[in-house]
Amino acid sequence: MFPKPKKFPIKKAPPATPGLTGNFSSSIPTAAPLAGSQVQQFSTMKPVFTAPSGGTGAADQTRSAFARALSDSANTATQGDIEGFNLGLQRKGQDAVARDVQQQRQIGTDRFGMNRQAATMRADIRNRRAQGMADIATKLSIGRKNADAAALDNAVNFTTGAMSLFSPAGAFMTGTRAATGLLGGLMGR
Amino acid sequence: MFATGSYTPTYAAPIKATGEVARRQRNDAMGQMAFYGDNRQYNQDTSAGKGVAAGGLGAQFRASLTGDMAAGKRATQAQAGMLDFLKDSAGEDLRFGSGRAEEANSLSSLLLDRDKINTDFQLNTQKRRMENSLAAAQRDAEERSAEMARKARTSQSILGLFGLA
Repeated sequence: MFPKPKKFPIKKAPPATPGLTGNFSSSIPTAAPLAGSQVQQFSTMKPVFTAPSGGTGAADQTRSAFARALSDSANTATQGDIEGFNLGLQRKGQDAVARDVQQQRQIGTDRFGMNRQAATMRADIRNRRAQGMADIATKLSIGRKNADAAALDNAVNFTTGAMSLFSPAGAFMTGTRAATGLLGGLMGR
Repeated sequence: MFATGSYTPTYAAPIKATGEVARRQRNDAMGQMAFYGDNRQYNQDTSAGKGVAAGGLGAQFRASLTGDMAAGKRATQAQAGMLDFLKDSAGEDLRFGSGRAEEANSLSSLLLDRDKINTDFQLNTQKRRMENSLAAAQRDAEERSAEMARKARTSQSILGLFGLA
Protein backbone atom coordinates (compact mmCIF):
# COMPACT_ATOMS: atom_id res chain seq x y z
CA MET A 1 0.00 0.00 0.00
CA PHE A 2 2.81 2.37 0.90
CA PRO A 3 6.34 2.32 -0.54
CA LYS A 4 8.91 0.62 1.59
CA PRO A 5 11.44 2.87 3.32
CA LYS A 6 14.67 3.57 1.54
CA LYS A 7 17.54 1.31 2.57
CA PHE A 8 20.82 2.66 3.88
CA PRO A 9 23.29 -0.20 3.65
CA ILE A 10 25.89 -0.45 6.38
CA LYS A 11 29.39 -1.06 5.11
CA LYS A 12 31.24 -4.17 6.16
CA ALA A 13 33.74 -3.99 8.96
CA PRO A 14 37.31 -3.20 7.90
CA PRO A 15 39.92 -5.95 8.14
CA ALA A 16 41.31 -6.73 11.55
CA THR A 17 43.86 -4.34 12.95
CA PRO A 18 47.37 -5.62 12.34
CA GLY A 19 49.02 -6.49 15.59
CA LEU A 20 52.44 -5.60 16.92
CA THR A 21 54.65 -8.00 15.00
CA GLY A 22 57.89 -7.54 16.89
CA ASN A 23 60.17 -8.17 13.93
CA PHE A 24 62.67 -5.49 14.80
CA SER A 25 66.17 -5.43 13.41
CA SER A 26 69.04 -3.02 13.12
CA SER A 27 71.57 -2.57 10.36
CA ILE A 28 74.17 -1.03 12.65
CA PRO A 29 77.39 -3.09 12.51
CA THR A 30 78.38 -4.80 15.75
CA ALA A 31 81.05 -7.22 14.54
CA ALA A 32 84.72 -6.61 15.34
CA PRO A 33 85.74 -4.11 12.65
CA LEU A 34 89.38 -5.15 12.51
CA ALA A 35 89.75 -8.88 12.28
CA GLY A 36 91.42 -11.70 10.44
CA SER A 37 93.92 -10.73 7.80
CA GLN A 38 93.96 -7.08 8.88
CA VAL A 39 95.04 -7.92 12.39
CA GLN A 40 97.60 -10.35 11.02
CA GLN A 41 98.92 -7.74 8.63
CA PHE A 42 99.36 -4.95 11.14
CA SER A 43 100.52 -6.94 14.14
CA THR A 44 103.33 -8.97 12.60
CA MET A 45 106.20 -6.56 12.23
CA LYS A 46 109.34 -8.46 11.30
CA PRO A 47 112.56 -7.79 13.26
CA VAL A 48 114.48 -5.00 11.61
CA PHE A 49 117.71 -6.97 12.00
CA THR A 50 118.43 -10.63 11.73
CA ALA A 51 121.86 -12.05 12.29
CA PRO A 52 123.40 -12.97 8.95
CA SER A 53 123.95 -16.57 8.14
CA GLY A 54 127.02 -17.73 10.02
CA GLY A 55 127.01 -14.62 12.17
CA THR A 56 127.46 -16.28 15.53
CA GLY A 57 129.28 -13.40 17.17
CA ALA A 58 128.08 -11.90 20.39
CA ALA A 59 127.44 -8.57 18.73
CA ASP A 60 125.22 -10.04 16.03
CA GLN A 61 123.34 -12.18 18.55
CA THR A 62 122.79 -9.26 20.88
CA ARG A 63 121.67 -7.00 18.11
CA SER A 64 119.36 -9.70 16.76
CA ALA A 65 117.82 -10.22 20.19
CA PHE A 66 117.31 -6.48 20.57
CA ALA A 67 115.55 -6.33 17.20
CA ARG A 68 113.32 -9.27 18.10
CA ALA A 69 112.40 -7.67 21.40
CA LEU A 70 111.63 -4.47 19.57
CA SER A 71 109.32 -6.15 17.06
CA ASP A 72 107.67 -8.29 19.73
CA SER A 73 106.92 -5.23 21.84
CA ALA A 74 105.59 -3.36 18.85
CA ASN A 75 103.41 -6.28 17.78
CA THR A 76 102.02 -6.78 21.26
CA ALA A 77 101.25 -3.08 21.55
CA THR A 78 99.56 -3.13 18.15
CA GLN A 79 97.51 -6.19 19.01
CA GLY A 80 96.43 -4.58 22.25
CA ASP A 81 95.53 -1.44 20.39
CA ILE A 82 93.46 -3.37 17.86
CA GLU A 83 91.72 -5.36 20.58
CA GLY A 84 90.89 -2.26 22.57
CA PHE A 85 89.61 -0.52 19.49
CA ASN A 86 87.49 -3.50 18.49
CA LEU A 87 85.97 -3.85 21.94
CA GLY A 88 85.28 -0.13 22.23
CA LEU A 89 83.60 0.00 18.86
CA GLN A 90 81.58 -3.14 19.54
CA ARG A 91 80.34 -1.63 22.80
CA LYS A 92 79.31 1.52 21.01
CA GLY A 93 77.68 -0.57 18.31
CA GLN A 94 75.74 -2.54 20.89
CA ASP A 95 74.51 0.66 22.51
CA ALA A 96 73.49 2.04 19.14
CA VAL A 97 71.63 -1.14 18.21
CA ALA A 98 69.78 -1.11 21.54
CA ARG A 99 68.72 2.50 21.01
CA ASP A 100 67.72 1.78 17.44
CA VAL A 101 65.59 -1.25 18.28
CA GLN A 102 64.05 0.53 21.26
CA GLN A 103 62.98 3.42 19.07
CA GLN A 104 61.51 0.98 16.59
CA ARG A 105 59.61 -0.72 19.40
CA GLN A 106 58.29 2.63 20.59
CA ILE A 107 57.15 3.67 17.14
CA GLY A 108 55.62 0.25 16.51
CA THR A 109 53.71 0.41 19.77
CA ASP A 110 52.45 3.91 19.00
CA ARG A 111 51.29 2.79 15.58
CA PHE A 112 49.61 -0.24 17.12
CA GLY A 113 47.78 2.07 19.52
CA MET A 114 46.74 4.34 16.69
CA ASN A 115 45.33 1.41 14.72
CA ARG A 116 43.48 0.12 17.77
CA GLN A 117 41.99 3.53 18.46
CA ALA A 118 40.94 3.90 14.84
CA ALA A 119 39.35 0.44 14.85
CA THR A 120 37.41 1.32 18.01
CA MET A 121 36.17 4.56 16.51
CA ARG A 122 35.12 2.79 13.31
CA ALA A 123 33.20 0.25 15.38
CA ASP A 124 31.50 3.13 17.23
CA ILE A 125 30.52 4.74 13.96
CA ARG A 126 29.10 1.48 12.61
CA ASN A 127 27.24 0.85 15.85
CA ARG A 128 25.80 4.35 15.96
CA ARG A 129 24.69 4.04 12.36
CA ALA A 130 23.07 0.64 12.89
CA GLN A 131 21.24 1.87 16.00
CA GLY A 132 20.03 4.99 14.22
CA MET A 133 18.80 3.01 11.24
CA ALA A 134 16.98 0.58 13.52
CA ASP A 135 15.28 3.49 15.31
CA ILE A 136 14.20 5.00 12.02
CA ALA A 137 12.91 1.69 10.69
CA THR A 138 10.87 1.18 13.87
CA LYS A 139 9.31 4.62 13.65
CA LEU A 140 8.46 4.10 10.00
CA SER A 141 6.98 0.70 10.71
CA ILE A 142 4.78 2.12 13.46
CA GLY A 143 3.59 4.87 11.14
CA ARG A 144 2.77 2.39 8.39
CA LYS A 145 0.90 0.09 10.74
CA ASN A 146 -1.13 2.99 12.09
CA ALA A 147 -1.98 4.05 8.56
CA ASP A 148 -2.93 0.50 7.61
CA ALA A 149 -5.14 0.26 10.67
CA ALA A 150 -6.85 3.53 9.80
CA ALA A 151 -7.40 2.35 6.23
CA LEU A 152 -8.97 -0.87 7.48
CA ASP A 153 -11.16 1.10 9.82
CA ASN A 154 -12.32 3.25 6.94
CA ALA A 155 -13.12 0.19 4.83
CA VAL A 156 -15.22 -1.32 7.61
CA ASN A 157 -17.07 1.92 8.12
CA PHE A 158 -17.68 2.20 4.41
CA THR A 159 -19.14 -1.29 4.22
CA THR A 160 -21.40 -1.02 7.23
CA GLY A 161 -22.41 2.49 6.29
CA ALA A 162 -23.31 1.50 2.75
CA MET A 163 -25.43 -1.37 3.97
CA SER A 164 -27.39 0.86 6.33
CA LEU A 165 -27.75 3.52 3.66
CA PHE A 166 -30.35 1.46 1.84
CA SER A 167 -32.65 1.15 4.85
CA PRO A 168 -35.27 3.90 5.53
CA ALA A 169 -33.85 4.65 8.93
CA GLY A 170 -30.39 4.81 7.47
CA ALA A 171 -31.52 7.20 4.76
CA PHE A 172 -33.13 9.37 7.40
CA MET A 173 -29.98 9.36 9.50
CA THR A 174 -27.88 10.13 6.49
CA GLY A 175 -30.08 13.03 5.54
CA THR A 176 -30.00 14.28 9.09
CA ARG A 177 -26.26 14.07 9.25
CA ALA A 178 -25.87 15.80 5.93
CA ALA A 179 -28.22 18.55 6.99
CA THR A 180 -26.43 18.95 10.31
CA GLY A 181 -23.10 19.04 8.54
CA LEU A 182 -24.31 21.58 6.07
CA LEU A 183 -25.79 23.74 8.78
CA GLY A 184 -22.62 23.53 10.79
CA GLY A 185 -20.61 24.47 7.74
CA LEU A 186 -22.78 27.48 7.03
CA MET A 187 -22.49 28.63 10.63
CA GLY A 188 -18.72 28.50 10.35
CA ARG A 189 -18.23 25.74 12.72
CA MET B 1 73.61 14.85 -3.16
CA PHE B 2 71.02 14.46 -0.42
CA ALA B 3 67.35 13.52 -0.82
CA THR B 4 65.70 16.48 0.88
CA GLY B 5 62.38 16.50 -1.00
CA SER B 6 60.85 13.33 0.41
CA TYR B 7 60.78 11.05 3.42
CA THR B 8 63.82 9.18 2.14
CA PRO B 9 66.76 9.15 4.57
CA THR B 10 69.43 11.67 3.64
CA TYR B 11 72.26 9.45 4.82
CA ALA B 12 73.52 7.95 1.58
CA ALA B 13 76.82 6.26 2.33
CA PRO B 14 79.67 6.42 4.85
CA ILE B 15 82.16 9.14 4.02
CA LYS B 16 85.65 7.69 4.10
CA ALA B 17 89.11 8.72 3.04
CA THR B 18 90.40 6.95 -0.02
CA GLY B 19 93.46 5.73 1.86
CA GLU B 20 95.84 7.23 -0.66
CA VAL B 21 97.43 9.53 1.91
CA ALA B 22 97.73 6.69 4.41
CA ARG B 23 99.41 4.50 1.81
CA ARG B 24 101.87 7.24 0.91
CA GLN B 25 102.73 7.81 4.55
CA ARG B 26 103.18 4.11 4.97
CA ASN B 27 105.49 3.96 1.98
CA ASP B 28 107.48 6.92 3.30
CA ALA B 29 107.80 5.29 6.70
CA MET B 30 108.87 2.03 5.10
CA GLY B 31 111.47 3.88 3.05
CA GLN B 32 112.85 5.58 6.16
CA MET B 33 112.91 2.25 7.92
CA ALA B 34 114.95 0.78 5.11
CA PHE B 35 117.30 3.73 5.24
CA TYR B 36 117.85 3.59 9.00
CA GLY B 37 118.08 -0.16 8.94
CA ASP B 38 120.65 -0.35 6.23
CA ASN B 39 123.66 -2.08 7.72
CA ARG B 40 126.07 -0.41 5.37
CA GLN B 41 125.86 2.76 7.39
CA TYR B 42 127.33 1.14 10.44
CA ASN B 43 129.80 -1.36 9.00
CA GLN B 44 133.29 -0.13 8.51
CA ASP B 45 133.84 0.62 4.88
CA THR B 46 137.61 0.70 4.51
CA SER B 47 137.40 1.40 0.84
CA ALA B 48 135.95 4.83 1.55
CA GLY B 49 138.80 5.88 3.75
CA LYS B 50 139.55 6.19 7.43
CA GLY B 51 137.22 9.13 7.92
CA VAL B 52 134.12 7.05 7.27
CA ALA B 53 135.41 4.08 9.17
CA ALA B 54 136.25 6.07 12.24
CA GLY B 55 135.51 4.47 15.59
CA GLY B 56 135.88 1.03 16.97
CA LEU B 57 133.67 -2.01 16.99
CA GLY B 58 131.90 -0.79 20.12
CA ALA B 59 130.90 2.42 18.39
CA GLN B 60 129.80 0.42 15.39
CA PHE B 61 127.63 -1.81 17.60
CA ARG B 62 126.03 1.13 19.37
CA ALA B 63 125.37 2.82 16.07
CA SER B 64 123.76 -0.35 14.79
CA LEU B 65 121.40 -0.53 17.75
CA THR B 66 120.52 3.10 17.33
CA GLY B 67 119.82 2.45 13.68
CA ASP B 68 117.71 -0.59 14.50
CA MET B 69 115.71 1.42 16.98
CA ALA B 70 115.14 4.15 14.44
CA ALA B 71 114.17 1.60 11.82
CA GLY B 72 111.78 -0.09 14.23
CA LYS B 73 110.21 3.25 15.04
CA ARG B 74 109.53 3.89 11.36
CA ALA B 75 108.17 0.37 10.93
CA THR B 76 105.77 0.98 13.78
CA GLN B 77 104.80 4.29 12.24
CA ALA B 78 104.08 2.53 8.97
CA GLN B 79 101.82 0.03 10.74
CA ALA B 80 100.14 2.65 12.88
CA GLY B 81 99.39 4.93 9.94
CA MET B 82 97.47 2.28 8.06
CA LEU B 83 95.86 1.08 11.26
CA ASP B 84 94.58 4.58 11.97
CA PHE B 85 93.13 4.68 8.49
CA LEU B 86 91.30 1.39 9.05
CA LYS B 87 90.09 2.58 12.44
CA ASP B 88 88.68 5.74 10.93
CA SER B 89 86.92 3.70 8.28
CA ALA B 90 85.44 1.33 10.86
CA GLY B 91 84.40 4.24 13.07
CA GLU B 92 82.75 5.88 10.11
CA ASP B 93 80.78 2.71 9.41
CA LEU B 94 79.39 2.82 12.94
CA ARG B 95 78.74 6.57 12.78
CA PHE B 96 76.96 6.17 9.48
CA GLY B 97 74.93 3.18 10.67
CA SER B 98 73.89 4.96 13.86
CA GLY B 99 73.06 8.18 12.06
CA ARG B 100 71.07 6.46 9.40
CA ALA B 101 69.15 4.38 11.94
CA GLU B 102 68.45 7.51 13.98
CA GLU B 103 67.20 9.33 10.93
CA ALA B 104 65.13 6.37 9.76
CA ASN B 105 63.45 6.16 13.16
CA SER B 106 62.80 9.89 13.16
CA LEU B 107 61.24 9.55 9.73
CA SER B 108 59.13 6.63 10.94
CA SER B 109 57.94 8.79 13.81
CA LEU B 110 57.09 11.58 11.39
CA LEU B 111 55.22 9.18 9.12
CA LEU B 112 53.33 7.90 12.16
CA ASP B 113 52.32 11.47 12.98
CA ARG B 114 51.21 11.97 9.40
CA ASP B 115 49.18 8.77 9.47
CA LYS B 116 47.60 9.80 12.77
CA ILE B 117 46.54 13.12 11.27
CA ASN B 118 45.13 11.42 8.18
CA THR B 119 43.36 8.74 10.21
CA ASP B 120 41.77 11.29 12.55
CA PHE B 121 40.66 13.33 9.58
CA GLN B 122 39.24 10.30 7.80
CA LEU B 123 37.37 9.03 10.85
CA ASN B 124 35.93 12.44 11.70
CA THR B 125 34.79 12.85 8.11
CA GLN B 126 33.25 9.39 8.18
CA LYS B 127 31.46 10.21 11.41
CA ARG B 128 30.04 13.44 10.00
CA ARG B 129 28.89 11.67 6.84
CA MET B 130 27.21 9.00 8.95
CA GLU B 131 25.43 11.64 11.02
CA ASN B 132 24.33 13.45 7.89
CA SER B 133 23.09 10.19 6.39
CA LEU B 134 21.16 9.34 9.54
CA ALA B 135 19.60 12.78 9.69
CA ALA B 136 18.53 12.48 6.04
CA ALA B 137 17.04 9.07 6.71
CA GLN B 138 15.26 10.47 9.76
CA ARG B 139 13.74 13.27 7.72
CA ASP B 140 12.71 10.87 4.98
CA ALA B 141 11.06 8.52 7.46
CA GLU B 142 9.17 11.37 9.13
CA GLU B 143 8.03 12.59 5.76
CA ARG B 144 6.76 9.15 4.77
CA SER B 145 4.99 8.62 8.09
CA ALA B 146 3.30 11.98 7.78
CA GLU B 147 2.28 11.17 4.21
CA MET B 148 0.71 7.88 5.25
CA ALA B 149 -1.14 9.60 8.09
CA ARG B 150 -2.40 12.28 5.72
CA LYS B 151 -3.73 9.69 3.28
CA ALA B 152 -5.58 7.88 6.05
CA ARG B 153 -7.10 11.12 7.32
CA THR B 154 -8.16 12.08 3.80
CA SER B 155 -9.94 8.77 3.26
CA GLN B 156 -11.65 9.15 6.59
CA SER B 157 -12.78 12.66 5.70
CA ILE B 158 -14.25 11.52 2.37
CA LEU B 159 -16.18 8.74 4.06
CA GLY B 160 -17.30 11.13 6.74
CA LEU B 161 -18.64 13.46 4.08
CA PHE B 162 -21.08 10.77 3.09
CA GLY B 163 -21.80 9.78 6.62
CA LEU B 164 -19.94 6.54 6.37
CA ALA B 165 -17.07 7.21 8.78
